[in-house]
Amino acid sequence: MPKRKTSQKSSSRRKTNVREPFDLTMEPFRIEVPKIEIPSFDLATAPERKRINPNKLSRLQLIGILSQKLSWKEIYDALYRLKKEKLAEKFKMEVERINQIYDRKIAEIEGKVEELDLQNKVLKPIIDEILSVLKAIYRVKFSNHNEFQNTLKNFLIWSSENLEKQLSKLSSEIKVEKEFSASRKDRLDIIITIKGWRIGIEVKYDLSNQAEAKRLLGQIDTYLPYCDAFIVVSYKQIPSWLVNQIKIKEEEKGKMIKLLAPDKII
Amino acid sequence: MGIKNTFKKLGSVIKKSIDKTRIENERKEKLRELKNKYLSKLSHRELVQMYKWAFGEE
Repeated sequence: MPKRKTSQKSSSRRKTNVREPFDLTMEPFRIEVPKIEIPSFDLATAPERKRINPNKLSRLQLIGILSQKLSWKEIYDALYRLKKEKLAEKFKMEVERINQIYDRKIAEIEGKVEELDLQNKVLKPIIDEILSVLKAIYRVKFSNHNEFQNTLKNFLIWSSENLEKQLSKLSSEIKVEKEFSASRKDRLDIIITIKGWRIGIEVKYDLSNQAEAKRLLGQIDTYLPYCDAFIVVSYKQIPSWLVNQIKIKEEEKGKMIKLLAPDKII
Repeated sequence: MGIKNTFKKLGSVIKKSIDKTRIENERKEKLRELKNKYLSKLSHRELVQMYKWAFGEE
């Protein structure tokens, strides 16, 4: 059989089958766009956002929302509106304390404040002034614990007034509070805030009593986190085992604890 | 030497910035914990009242 001359025919066929890539005579692809209803942006007619009914939220949910959305100042003002003034003031004190600690850290990073030697440069003169006022307790004679307890309240009032006067030499920013309570069980006799430092003071009659000594150690554990330093004033001698226990706590917590006894300051 | 000092300064600036951010985040976390602590001392009714003052009545 003779060979077909297919070359010409096939090339023309090929031409009709092959489309050039930039052939503009081609019909473009048709993409069918589905109809979507676009909502109007007219705010006047926009549907209202669903408001949450707070009564239907659980206590935990409310705490979570309020702590996230409200600033500390707003919570402080709200506590006052709820007539929880003591709680509001305690809250504010703790917030200020946190802010002071972190402001100090930032100042140290920025090189604005040198790392202070707490005991020698800042707290020592303050503690010395406080001790000079508290020594007045030894001028009064108490025959028993009850007599001491009855007079303690007046002593605390007197000491607070004199501490403010004495410490005003060192700074104008002083706050002296009596019977500070951070827990339901106990109260701290005096807490002084000066120059951003907080010093707690606890006054005891006789620490040779085991129960009183244990109570004091518990108070140190409870209140030391709120203070930069702690002073224990004992009307009678402090037993050596208790002194050792307190000094161990001083090292563990890394905060100064001063003991004022009739004949010495430890 | 000049380039070395430049890199040193840049490194210390970046380190300071990172440290400050870390401290600020720690501060925010502590403040949030404190807010939780004090808000948990309130009753449900008081929390609802606080919510209404903050976000308006429903």
